[in-house]
Amino acid sequence: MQKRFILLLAATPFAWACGSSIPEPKQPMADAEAASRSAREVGADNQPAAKLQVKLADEQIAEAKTLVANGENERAAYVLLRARADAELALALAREQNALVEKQKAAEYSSTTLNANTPGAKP
Amino acid sequence: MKTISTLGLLLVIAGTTGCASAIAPPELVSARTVYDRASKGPAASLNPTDLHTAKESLDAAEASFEKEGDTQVTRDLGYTAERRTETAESRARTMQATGEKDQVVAQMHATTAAQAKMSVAELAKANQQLASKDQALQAQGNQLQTEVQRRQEAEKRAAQAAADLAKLASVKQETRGMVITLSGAVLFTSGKSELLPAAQVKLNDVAKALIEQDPDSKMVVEGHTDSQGTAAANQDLSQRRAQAVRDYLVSRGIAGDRVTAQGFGPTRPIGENGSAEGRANNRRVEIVVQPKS
Repeated sequence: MQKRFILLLAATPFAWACGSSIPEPKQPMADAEAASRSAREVGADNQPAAKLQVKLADEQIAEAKTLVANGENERAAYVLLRARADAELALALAREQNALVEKQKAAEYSSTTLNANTPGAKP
Repeated sequence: MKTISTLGLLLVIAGTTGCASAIAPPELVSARTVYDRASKGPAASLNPTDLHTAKESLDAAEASFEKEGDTQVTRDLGYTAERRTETAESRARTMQATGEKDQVVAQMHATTAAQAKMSVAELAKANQQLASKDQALQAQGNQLQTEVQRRQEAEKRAAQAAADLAKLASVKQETRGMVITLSGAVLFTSGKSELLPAAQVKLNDVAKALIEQDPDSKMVVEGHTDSQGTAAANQDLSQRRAQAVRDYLVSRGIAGDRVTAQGFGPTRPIGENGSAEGRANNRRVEIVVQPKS
């Protein structure tokens, strides 16, 4: 009887690790993939920091898929948490870069326009 | 029994490792640092919502660390907290850049509008100035035309008057001016200084011509005699004759301040006093119309 109890204790972590009771993280997977796509759509691949983050996200998404395939759903869920955070950071960085470019363009346009309208200003 | 003891030892070790790990994993340490930076930066004021979410992630990581120590879950949560904090910061910078861009655009529009307004005002002012100048030029043009016309008429009158004078007397252009020579015999009885009636008729025409020709020029009426008689008497006679002609011209409308009289006696003969003809030529009155200075 004692031996049985010991075996049960030893087997519990394995059962937990295999995630048999944890459902497949479909929604986290979808969220992470959507965030990665969004980041690419706004030009994450054109900005080094954003590109790195989106690459990390993609790698983690791939890792999560492997984990899911191996039945490690809980671990996959945590990896997807990382992936989504990376993808969202990539999206934010890409948008930031776009905003900076827009700001620069506006400043240049403003400068050109105001110079052109100033009497006596050289074109 | 030996198996139970070994298992118990393993559980103790596992418990110690799981709960009492005092060193936070690098993900959590980094997350704390980044959050600390973000909470003191622009994200705190510009993007408090995302920063709050990041704080919740950090709190979850801290709780996991406190409860379970340096586990993979704690590391995952720390990693996620750091990324969320960085995301909050990036979004804050985006807001800042967008706000600055909007400000630049608004300022440009305001300045452009002000410049346009000023341009319209300046244009109106320039138009007004042009209109005034145009008006002034037109007036000047009219004045010029009137002046040209007046001069042409004056020149015409002068030419006519000169032609008339040439019919009445000898007219010459000299350096001292136009010299109109009237014979003494036509004007006066010998030795007298009273004008003859015929002389008056002639002087009427001369006065008229002089007024027509040039109403502003100064004139000198010069009296000249031949050398017969004393020089003093001749001087006196020439002066009186010059004065008589001068007074008559003034009575015919020539302004008194334009004309003076001067007698020269026999000092400026134009002919030989030895002959009757020469003496007749020397007895004369000259009206010298001085050129305008």
